[in-house]
Amino acid sequence: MQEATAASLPEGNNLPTLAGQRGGSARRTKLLLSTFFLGVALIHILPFYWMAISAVRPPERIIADAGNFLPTSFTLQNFQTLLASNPYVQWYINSIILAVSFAALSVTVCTLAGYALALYKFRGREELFFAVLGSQMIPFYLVLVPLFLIIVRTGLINQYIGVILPIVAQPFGLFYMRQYIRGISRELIDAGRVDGASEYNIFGSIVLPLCKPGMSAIFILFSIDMWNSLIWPLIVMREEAKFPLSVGLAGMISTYRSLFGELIAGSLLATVPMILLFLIFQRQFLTGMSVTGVIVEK
Amino acid sequence: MTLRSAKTPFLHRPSVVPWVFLAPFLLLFLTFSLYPILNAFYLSVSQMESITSLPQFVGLANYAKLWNDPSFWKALNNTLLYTVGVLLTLIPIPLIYAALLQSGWVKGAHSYRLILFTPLLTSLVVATIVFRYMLGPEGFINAILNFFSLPPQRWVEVGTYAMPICVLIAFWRWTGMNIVYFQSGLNNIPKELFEAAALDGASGLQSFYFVTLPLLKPIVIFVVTISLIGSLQVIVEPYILYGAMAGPGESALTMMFYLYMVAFQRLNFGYAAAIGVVLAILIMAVSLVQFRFFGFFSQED
Repeated sequence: MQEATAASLPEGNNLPTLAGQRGGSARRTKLLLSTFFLGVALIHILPFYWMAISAVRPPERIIADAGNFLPTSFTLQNFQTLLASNPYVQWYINSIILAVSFAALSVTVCTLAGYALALYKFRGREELFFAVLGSQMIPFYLVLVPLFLIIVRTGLINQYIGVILPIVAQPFGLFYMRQYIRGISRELIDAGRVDGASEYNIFGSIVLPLCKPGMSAIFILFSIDMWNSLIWPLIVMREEAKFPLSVGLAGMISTYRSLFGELIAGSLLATVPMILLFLIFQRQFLTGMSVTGVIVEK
Repeated sequence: MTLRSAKTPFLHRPSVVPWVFLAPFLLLFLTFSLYPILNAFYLSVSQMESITSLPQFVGLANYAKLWNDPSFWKALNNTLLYTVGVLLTLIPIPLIYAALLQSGWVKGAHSYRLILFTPLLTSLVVATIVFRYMLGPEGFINAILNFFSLPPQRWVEVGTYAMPICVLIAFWRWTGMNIVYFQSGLNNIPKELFEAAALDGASGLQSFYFVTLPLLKPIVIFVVTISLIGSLQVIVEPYILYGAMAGPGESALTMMFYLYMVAFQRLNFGYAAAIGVVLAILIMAVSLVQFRFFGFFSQED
């Protein structure tokens, strides 16, 4: 499509594109750039490729064959050992529980609060908003020790709720949902008021349905964050059966058994569903991941 | 908001409604953010005998100890090294990639964006495990070196490579994300500006330099800031690569790693809190510089 346009343009006609080069050299530039990006893409895929071919090698061949670029053998032995000698499936379930419940809770709480800050004028609104936003500057790790002490004292240690509850109130989520709701037409809301709907009905039946794209964007962002997090769940969870994947896999590294095969198999199984989900929902993913970029533009 | 009569039920009063919506967030925020923040400062000037004992005020003793602690300086040094490495790679390269992919001169640009994005979907733990084995003595990377007749390296055993390897992992994972950020900035540049530049006879490079870069400044500053804040808190990569002892000669010890070690291996909570405060001050200084440059709140009414 692009190519046809470029080729059909007469020599010397500038294209309204970033690279304002001319006809003849254009094709060469294109070829060069396309080849370059093919190379870049291959390098970025390499670790995935290596993970995939290593996972299906017999455990004793993984180190020996590490330098072999081609798939040398195929066995599911690593996956069998992985599932037999670790509560891997349980870790997987735990990761899903943590990611989904954290994201759902956080999105709910942030949307409710974002709604209040976006649409109501009340005393202390600005102060509150800036205080919450200002706390975003403070790194989570400052509160790592105090939070741990709270979790220990309240008996939330080694519980899902202990991992989730302290991080549900995300200033970023609040900020994002506030911006999002401010973008919703006031006329719809005022019309609801004229019809005599209560404030809660207006939220539930007018605002909430319109918020769905914004909510799903931060839902994805937050669930990926939780899926990837290591240190906080590592501190809160004490029992192997309650670990999420990240903590379980990290624990496998520090044991004395030689676990290359199992680790690579476990890593592969942890990665494939995420990539499949991404390929299916790429638009939502990219919106979710770039919401911070969107905010900057506002 | 329309004023209702005084008979309005409590939860429906205009003065009460916003607080009902705010309540869940606020309660959690006060309990799990505001209180711990204040508590962190208090703990940093205290000593705790055990998890259950009450903190005892010791003044600035923890900070004085920190000043004279070679491990702390080593950790700070490593963290800054990593941060500089991330900024030098993860800003210019994705920016150039984004501009090229946007130019319409790369066939299948969208698929490349997707491919470069996928590494971010591996968790940091998985990514680091993979790199750890690829960089092993008889690993994939050494095999590639061997293929080009270069001598193999002891990547993960030698401390010198610790921070560069962490930068490499960050680069692998984040290139695609930063392309997405820069691309969202590029999309907001009006096409007419490029047309005008082209009419004025500007080459591709010239319009990149004179049109694209100045207009991308806000997003560049934004990406620099989040990269800085993220980098200063690096812990998972060195933890997975080099284990609980942070590698030979603490070569993989970062600020966060040290905080983690002090708190959860040595159970010295007061001292760990002091490290946290120093790290927080560093990060807040960075954020404030960003606000000055960039005015995060400038669009507010």
